[in-house]
Amino acid sequence: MKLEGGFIKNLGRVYGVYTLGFLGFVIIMAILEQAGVSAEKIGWMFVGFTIAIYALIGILSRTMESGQYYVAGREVPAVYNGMATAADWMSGASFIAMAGGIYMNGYPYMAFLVGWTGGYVLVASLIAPYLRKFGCYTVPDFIGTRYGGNLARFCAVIVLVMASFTYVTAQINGTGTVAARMLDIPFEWGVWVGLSGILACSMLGGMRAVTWTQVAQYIVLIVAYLIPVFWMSNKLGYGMIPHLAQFDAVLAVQELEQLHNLGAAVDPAAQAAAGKLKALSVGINDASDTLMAKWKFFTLVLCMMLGTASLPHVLMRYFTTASVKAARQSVGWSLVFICLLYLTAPALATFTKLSLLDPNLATGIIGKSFADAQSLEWVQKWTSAGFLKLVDGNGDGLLQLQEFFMNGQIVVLATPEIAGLPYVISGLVAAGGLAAAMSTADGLLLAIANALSHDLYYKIIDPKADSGKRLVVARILLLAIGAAGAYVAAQKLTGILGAVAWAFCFANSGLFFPLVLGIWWKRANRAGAIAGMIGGLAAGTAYLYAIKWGGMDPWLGIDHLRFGMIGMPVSLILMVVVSKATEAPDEETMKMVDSIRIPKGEVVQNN
Amino acid sequence: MSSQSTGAPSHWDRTKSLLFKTLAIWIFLAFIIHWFGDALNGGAESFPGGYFMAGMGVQISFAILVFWFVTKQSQIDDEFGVSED
Repeated sequence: MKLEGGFIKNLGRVYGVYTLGFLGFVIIMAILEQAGVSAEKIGWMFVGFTIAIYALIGILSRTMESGQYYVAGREVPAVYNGMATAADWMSGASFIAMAGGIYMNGYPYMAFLVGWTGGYVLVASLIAPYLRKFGCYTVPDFIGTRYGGNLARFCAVIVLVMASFTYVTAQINGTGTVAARMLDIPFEWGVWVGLSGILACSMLGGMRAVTWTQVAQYIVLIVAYLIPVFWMSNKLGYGMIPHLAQFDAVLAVQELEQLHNLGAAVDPAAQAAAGKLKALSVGINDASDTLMAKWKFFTLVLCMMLGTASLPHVLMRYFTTASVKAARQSVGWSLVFICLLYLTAPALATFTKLSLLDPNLATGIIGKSFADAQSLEWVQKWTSAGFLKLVDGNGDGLLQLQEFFMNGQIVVLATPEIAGLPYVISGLVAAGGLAAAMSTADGLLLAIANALSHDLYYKIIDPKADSGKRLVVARILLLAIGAAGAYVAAQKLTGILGAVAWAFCFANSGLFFPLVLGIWWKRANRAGAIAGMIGGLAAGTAYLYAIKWGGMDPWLGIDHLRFGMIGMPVSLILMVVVSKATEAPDEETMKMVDSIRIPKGEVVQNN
Repeated sequence: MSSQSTGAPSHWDRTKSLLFKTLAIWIFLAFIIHWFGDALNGGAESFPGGYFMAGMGVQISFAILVFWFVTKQSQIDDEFGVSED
């Protein structure tokens, strides 16, 4: 493929054709469905076609140049980097679990929506443009050079690996879940199928390949997320634009919640039969006025925001722009593309709830005959998959809200079926979930492998290694970490969402203050940074261990999703106190900090 | 600290003051407004304001805030002649 003026100049055309091609593919699938092709075959084609496209982009973007491999040649335009960041950012958790979380937990869960967007204000104003000017390849590269010494660099690598590895197992788990469902193979195999797709995108071309596949994956995931919601909003007659229509729907749902006695006790025997699945028990919009509820909202928002601003796989995306100014603008674009999906999640949750609860709708099965609901095709399918369980606890032959047990994840995956949309939409949604999980997994695996190859191997172990050797090491590490991630994911240790929140807390406990103070406080020195990284990470991890496995009661409602509330203050205090107690950084470091504070001039670090 | 002795605010002083403004708005959107989520929701029939802010209002405001910040910071850089190119 040879384009006049090069690839970068023709991005609009390339991705325009790609988007039209993808929509064409969806239409062909819809026609095939009408022609009687089975749902299973359509599922295979969706997964096969999209993975093949990503792999093709990955192979076309292969490179042996380290600037291309680590930072995509620093030539990615701000808007496209925004799109790639949005795909990098929105994981399987955002795509599959978020709307379900809002469905099951209502208002308090929207703290995630606030935290995962507001963090970008910090990325834009505190960190990203300065790291771009610094010119590093990896986040530990900044820590290692700003504070000096291998120990500081090594600590940053540890935090990065802990946060990113926790996160990546959740993503590989997500790809495994979708692949297993669509291809009808065991989950353990699905994990390895997902991993091979992920590695096909990143092995040969590093950051360059990941950037261009992430843009492609963003397009697939956003189309897949928006179409069903627009469809439902129009079908239910609430209006053209679901985002505006949802507020009327919220009021309607609140009335229906009273009709169905939301909050009534669940029969213990029925709950026992349903196992871990839950009946809806929280109102859609209970913004409680208790101090504890407000505090929990506040702490979750804070942990997610500061985690956003310290997760290396996100920060490293801004190393790929052509200038400092472009890096800043790119943060704004990232937020725009992220909001396109995030603002849709509450609407999706609301319309799904309305579809199930409204007795005037054919889809509204709550409050109607238990036997009829039990015989629905989607109910049977998701029940046999273990995501849904209907138990007629009081034996009255009707399906009460307290007798409908589900796993929140099916809100996104099963909504097309619940709302009675054609199967092609289910295939599209699955392809979107796969794209979301794959793109995040790619960014995370690359962040880990690059830190280990660049910071641990090249900067600490073998500084004389030539660029060819470094890239071979980087690829071997990528393969090894991917395999380790898939192995851990196959053990199913944590749920998708728990693992994601932990990654944020590991990152903010260990890296937030060393990064921010490295730029904004000249007096911050090596001893302080090391104390901040080790102390923060150790305090946060010890607290997590104590409340999760040690049997300790959480302090002040700071549960395992928010353990950064312990790690962060420890990190800040240690960093300030130890920095003050030890010698100020030398003149050279001061000059380096000065030079990253202005966009003009050469980058500090030339690899 | 020598830059502060000259009287006129330096590039870094202006950058810092922009940061503080940005962070003040950020604190309002991220934390303060949700503290009053219950009050914003109002009664059963009224528009669910708290829900709107947590699910849509602040996200859009964050995006506008970032673009506003970028424009202001670029103006400061241009004024002091420290932008790229």
